[in-house]
Amino acid sequence: MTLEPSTGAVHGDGAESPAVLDGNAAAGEFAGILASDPTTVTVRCGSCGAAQAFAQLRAYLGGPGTVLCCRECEAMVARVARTPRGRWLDISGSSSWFLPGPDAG
Amino acid sequence: MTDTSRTGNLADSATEAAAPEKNRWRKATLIGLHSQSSHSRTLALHVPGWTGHLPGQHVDVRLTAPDGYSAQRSYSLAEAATSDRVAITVDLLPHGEVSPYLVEIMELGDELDVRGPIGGWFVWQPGDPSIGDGPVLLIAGGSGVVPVVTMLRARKRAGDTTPTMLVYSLRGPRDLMYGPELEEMAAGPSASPTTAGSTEVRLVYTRKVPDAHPRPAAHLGADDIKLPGAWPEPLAGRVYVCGPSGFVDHATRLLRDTGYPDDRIRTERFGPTGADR
Repeated sequence: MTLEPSTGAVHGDGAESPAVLDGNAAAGEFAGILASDPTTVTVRCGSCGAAQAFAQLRAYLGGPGTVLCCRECEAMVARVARTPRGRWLDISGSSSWFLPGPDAG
Repeated sequence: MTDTSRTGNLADSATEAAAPEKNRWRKATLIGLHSQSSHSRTLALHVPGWTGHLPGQHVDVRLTAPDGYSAQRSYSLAEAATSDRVAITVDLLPHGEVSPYLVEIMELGDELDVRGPIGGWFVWQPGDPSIGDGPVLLIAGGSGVVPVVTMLRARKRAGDTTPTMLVYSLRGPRDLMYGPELEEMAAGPSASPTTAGSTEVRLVYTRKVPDAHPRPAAHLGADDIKLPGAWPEPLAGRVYVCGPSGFVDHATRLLRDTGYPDDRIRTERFGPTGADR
């Protein structure tokens, strides 16, 4: 893990929290990568094993890339970075992604 | 492969040319403005080819400067679905980069880019089988009221009678968005939260209370999210929480303490940081 988003902030009280958002805000970025809506995907954290909706992951936006972290243990589960030539997707921090819907065939 | 309808952002164009329809940036023209509070307004945009959306979904909005620099933010969709039309309600963040333009500067006829609709998680469609007979609890902090009012409007339009309570936390009377509409939803002795278009509305003022408001100024508390005793169910079948991150954390803690399991709670956070690029 090379990126270390600030931790602890999410348990701070209210207004002082830096702008950690959630997977809803990162969905536009991932909508171009997944074929279906990202927010309803169930992501399992590779560190603690907690399963959660993509929408409920912690999201850190505004840097050179978008970083998503487990809402239970704060480990990074996915990140995407844009470069002039394309996008880098790193999902090595997650153990599985379940995409709901009918048989994708 | 370049997108000739846009200028700037050459880095994006190669990937976007092949992007699926919903993830494509579309040109949007401002066609309507409506003030919502002393520091927020609704912008109605004409977006050719927009085929509609679900209540609770959002759009990404992109502003591009003449030199190619662009900034991007997410905004909840503020109206029920209408073809070729997108509305967003934007709250001014005093030191923001995008909201001052949208709230104070942008004029009718001006253009920006939108992408969406986005998200299927923070969505309430009237009749959603997983919600059953409800009730549904909507908890909003500040401009987090926008997507939940869109849900309430869709519920009204569908004639849905799921019992519904809106708990809206705001600093003071100057910050109230959708005031007249919320009053109408909550009004009348015959109004009941199970009537289509009618909702139990609780305004939670945290700093300054308007005259004659029964509740003193205080942060959202456990009593505020307790469903009315007369309702058949003590807990809502589904809870939607939208607000700044700290507010969402606080509300989620209250809900867990009240006995809500995580799978009934759907949250959406917003904040000043968007993706600038």
